[in-house]
Amino acid sequence: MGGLFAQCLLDGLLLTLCGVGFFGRKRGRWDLLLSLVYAVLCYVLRMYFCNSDNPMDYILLPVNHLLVVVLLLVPTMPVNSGWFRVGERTIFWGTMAQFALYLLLRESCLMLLAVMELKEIAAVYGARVLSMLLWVALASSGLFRWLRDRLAEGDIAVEAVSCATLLILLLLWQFQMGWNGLWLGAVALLAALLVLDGGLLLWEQRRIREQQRTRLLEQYLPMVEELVESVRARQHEFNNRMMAVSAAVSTADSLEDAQRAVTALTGGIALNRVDRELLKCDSKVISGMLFGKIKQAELRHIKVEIDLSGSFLRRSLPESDWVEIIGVLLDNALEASAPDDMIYLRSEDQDGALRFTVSNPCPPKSNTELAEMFRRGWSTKAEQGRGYGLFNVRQMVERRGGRLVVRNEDMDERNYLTIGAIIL
Amino acid sequence: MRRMLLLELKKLSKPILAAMAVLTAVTCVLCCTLFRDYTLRYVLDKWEIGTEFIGLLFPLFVTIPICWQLYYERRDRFIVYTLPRVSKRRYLTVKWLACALSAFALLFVPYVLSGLSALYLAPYSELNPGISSEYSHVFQSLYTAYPLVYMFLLSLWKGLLGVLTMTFGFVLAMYSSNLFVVLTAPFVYLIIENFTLSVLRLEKYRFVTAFEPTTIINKNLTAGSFFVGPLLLCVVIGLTALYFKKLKGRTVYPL
Repeated sequence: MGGLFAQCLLDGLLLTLCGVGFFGRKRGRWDLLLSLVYAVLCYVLRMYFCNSDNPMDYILLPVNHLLVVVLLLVPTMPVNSGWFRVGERTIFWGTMAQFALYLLLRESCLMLLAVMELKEIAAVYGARVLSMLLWVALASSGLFRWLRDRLAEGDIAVEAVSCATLLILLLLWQFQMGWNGLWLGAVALLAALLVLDGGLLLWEQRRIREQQRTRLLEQYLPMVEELVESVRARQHEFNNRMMAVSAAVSTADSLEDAQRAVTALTGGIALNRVDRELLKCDSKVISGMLFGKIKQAELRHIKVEIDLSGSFLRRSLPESDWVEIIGVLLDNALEASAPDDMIYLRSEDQDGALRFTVSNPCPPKSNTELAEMFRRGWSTKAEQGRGYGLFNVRQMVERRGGRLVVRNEDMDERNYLTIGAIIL
Repeated sequence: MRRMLLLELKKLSKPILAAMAVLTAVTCVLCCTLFRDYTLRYVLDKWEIGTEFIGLLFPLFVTIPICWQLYYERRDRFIVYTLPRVSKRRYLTVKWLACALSAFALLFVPYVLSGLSALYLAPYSELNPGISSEYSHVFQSLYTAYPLVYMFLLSLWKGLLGVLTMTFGFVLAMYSSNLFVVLTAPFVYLIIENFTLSVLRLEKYRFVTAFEPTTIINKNLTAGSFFVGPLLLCVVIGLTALYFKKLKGRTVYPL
């Protein structure tokens, strides 16, 4: 009897630890009281719903029948809900994850004990204590914090993986309990679950990319609208000037007078070169972002010359990554430039790929220095948390099979540092 | 009233039909396959073997697909917007009626269809009636001579008990603010009641006995076995409503 309650108490403690892992510590030390609730639940179910007295049958789960696992799982949800007080969705999936983790820890420890050839009472208590130690090791790695955040955000991939892991481990447990007849079906179920997991992860990735794109559109589309507004205003001015030219020509006394009037009236009505280049860009998000950066540069009295040709879209790099790369390169160039400096921004087709570069005035750098710039944490500033921009650029470009461009160039009788990428 | 009832039934139709379809499919398959490992005395034994698992899990089947709706109507304050159209009492009565019909159908249809499949579709299996004096079954003459009538009447009874179990979840959905309590309390209550009455050696008065009279030996079964468990549940439902209303001061319609 004492042994039975001690086992249930240890089971309750591990369930509490797994719960705390996914829901966080809500009541400090009092969280330990929850293990008593779980222990009583395990004790009642084991005493009155399970038909075996052999402690080895309960080495993995506190109960020895799949149907009784449901009896354990169902009351655990309201208990978790009342104790941890988080959202309904988090409680549901968190409880699944809690049981999946419980089984995973126990399975791992059992395998270890099997290797050590520990049996009977040593295995019964050894598996319970060892799984708690394993939990401590996992908790110190920060894994639970990450999982907790994902669950709180309603990350579908984490929820699906938790649920699938629980099902797979329950299936394994059923095998160990001697349910061998349906192995083929079980393997098929396992394979289906893995495929489902893979599909869900892909879908989640796609969803995140779509969210990123929406966020970028929300951020930069107002800037494109501003650009279009400025072009429209210029168009209005152009119409007025044309009317004035027409009037000047029809009222001029001589050809020379007409020429003088037309020259005076047509001066400065051409479309701004930067605006024209931006309107040529096939990505509205990128042109919006560039427009914003150019305005920033103007405020700091830095000139930006843009020459865009070639398409940004339909490349191996998604639009959101382009925005990030261009943003990092332009921000670095703006930071390194002084008032009245000129920054050149170019994009062009090169053997089927797009070559994009940003050049800014800079003292000549050696090859070693140029290579060092893409190392993690490299920065000209001493502040913490800097030096990741160019490192991220390198990661993104290399991940998509692109190449980095970095070199010293002589322009306007000054040395310019050119950084960019060639993307297929 | 009729239109409102139809509207409420329509709201519940998707989860109910889905749950009913799954339950019917599972019970039919089990009734046609599970009996192979057993010695059968009468043809309806297949039905009893195939539907055994429902006896344990039925509180979940009749609560989860139904009671969540009222809970969300309260939580999202939708219920408040029904006030200009219909009185509180009337709305809750119609709502309960729709839930009761759904809960009844959710148990009655799978039981009847699985019974029919056990009687007429299941593969032939040799019956071994043995010595009749040693055999005892609840309503034995009906069970052996008129299995269809027995199956139909017991399904009807189980459907009614399903309505009672759902009512517990319904009352909790009217007052509780915890979804998991609403959806699992009837199940947990039946487990605790089962456990307590078993410890007190009063197995014949458990709700589960009323639901599935074959869970105890026939000679221990009395007329009380069919009514004490359900009456106890009625008392618990009443006490729960009183607790929430009088002691906790909760209202069905959020302020």
